[in-house]
Amino acid sequence: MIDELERLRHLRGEVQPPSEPARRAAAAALAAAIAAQAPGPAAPGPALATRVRARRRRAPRRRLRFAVGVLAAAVLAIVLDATLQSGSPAAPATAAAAVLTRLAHVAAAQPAATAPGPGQYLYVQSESAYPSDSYTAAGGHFSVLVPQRREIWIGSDDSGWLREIDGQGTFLTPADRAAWIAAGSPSLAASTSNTQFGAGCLSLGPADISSLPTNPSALAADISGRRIEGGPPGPAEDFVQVGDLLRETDASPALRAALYQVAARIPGVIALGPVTDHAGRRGVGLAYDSQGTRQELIFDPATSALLGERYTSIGGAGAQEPAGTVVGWAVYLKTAIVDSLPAGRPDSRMEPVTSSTSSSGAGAPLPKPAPGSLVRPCRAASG
Amino acid sequence: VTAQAIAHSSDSDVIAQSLSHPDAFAAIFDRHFDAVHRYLSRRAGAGVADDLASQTFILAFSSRAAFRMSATSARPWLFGIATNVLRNNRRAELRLLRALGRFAAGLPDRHPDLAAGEAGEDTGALTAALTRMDADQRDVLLLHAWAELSYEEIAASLGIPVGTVRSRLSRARVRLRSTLATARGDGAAPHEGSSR
Repeated sequence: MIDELERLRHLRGEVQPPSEPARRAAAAALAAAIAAQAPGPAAPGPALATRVRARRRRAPRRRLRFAVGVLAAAVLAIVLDATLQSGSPAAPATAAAAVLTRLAHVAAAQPAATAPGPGQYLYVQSESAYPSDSYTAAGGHFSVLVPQRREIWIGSDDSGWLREIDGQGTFLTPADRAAWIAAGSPSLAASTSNTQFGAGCLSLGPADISSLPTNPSALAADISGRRIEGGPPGPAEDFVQVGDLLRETDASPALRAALYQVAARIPGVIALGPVTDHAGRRGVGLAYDSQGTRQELIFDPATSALLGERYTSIGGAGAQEPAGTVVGWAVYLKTAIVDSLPAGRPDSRMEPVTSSTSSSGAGAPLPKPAPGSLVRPCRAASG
Repeated sequence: VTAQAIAHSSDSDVIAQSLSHPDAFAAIFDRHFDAVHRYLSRRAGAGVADDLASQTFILAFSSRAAFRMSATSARPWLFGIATNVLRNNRRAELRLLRALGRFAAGLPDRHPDLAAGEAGEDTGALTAALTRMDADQRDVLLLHAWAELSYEEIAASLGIPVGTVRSRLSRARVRLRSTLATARGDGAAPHEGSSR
């Protein structure tokens, strides 16, 4: 088990505090900036003016988008087939909106699943491959796509278990293979991890998925980041969040239905039509292109479940690999509510540092940290 | 405004105060300069950090009206500004990472920031992963690991949704972990927590 964050925390951990001359120089520079301000009440700076304007502009735009979405839901299913068959460059968001609206209907018709109760766990089994980079002594480097089998057990109190088994990697591009050979073909060792998490330590998903609104408009407001003032949320982030809310979560049918309706309103989403995931399953693909990479989500049209995802280089400024290179993928193979953690001993354990807030007992859910508070501290436990 | 009153106020009170009394902003400098400098020094090197930390506080002062008054601490906000300042000086950061990587590989490098204690067993793999990952991922990862900000604080500091913080962080960790695993397989680092 590699605790990559713990190792990263030690990197450059011994930097010196600022020297006294540097500190004085910075204080003097700030004092000069302060003195340059006209005395008396400061005018509201340009930043404040921008912020107020932006806020006033954002709300109507969101309502407008909602109106378009409702209209789209009513007409677009009819338009879809015609536009696809004609082969004309149909407005992609339009086709995507129709697909997502259909997925929302499918989701809404699914039987309500039960969330894990105390002592129960959400179990998700998946396979994925993401790039691993190696640097060689001679200064070269190569990237390997490392496949991984992953099983996770997530308790309602954010306790649980994570098992990851890496497989033999494949080179991302021929150039990576050449760099590897030039480096003397070092072994590409697989790794495993098998970690148990104490209450509050397995914090992977969005804070509390059960508390999210299932009203599409309210959910859209949450997703577009209305809690975070001053930041332009943007469609790329919105699409990423759709994936985040589905990946290894127990999003209810109602929440999924709302989520797909929200996604139908994200501009720039591309409908890919029928696609096959990396487990060979047929699904319907939706994508968003950003920063040189296409992020693709693949859904089961019969159940609306997320089957898998795929990241492909599309070239251009932000891309590190040739266009068409698959730079990552995942398939979600099994999702269930189970009554126990795996038998046997973990290789490592994460435990909460303090238990002052959890005196009510092991099964009681910990209070969620308030926005702005520090993430609950968890540490590797020995033994 | 007496110094006594400022000493007991929250950052947001001080910044609100500084809108009409700019002098009050000096307290923000006193409270946070060292932490901001340390973060910048870890990312870009001590020499560059002197200048960038100074820039950060001047920028913070001139944009203090945009500070979100509902946030009690100015720290995430300041780290967000520091991260933006750093973004215009990526070259300094990459130069430091490259120097660390060369140093870890036993190659000579004349970067002023290399100390004898720098090359831990994972330095090569860690710097390789940091160099290769997207700048956006690196920002989120290091705000978390080095600036010790929570997901919500990172979201607020960079103006991005918490979900994006989470997914960027998780992608960055995957990259970091697999690079470390590969380095370990090369015999560059000893086995640890084996599955025996």
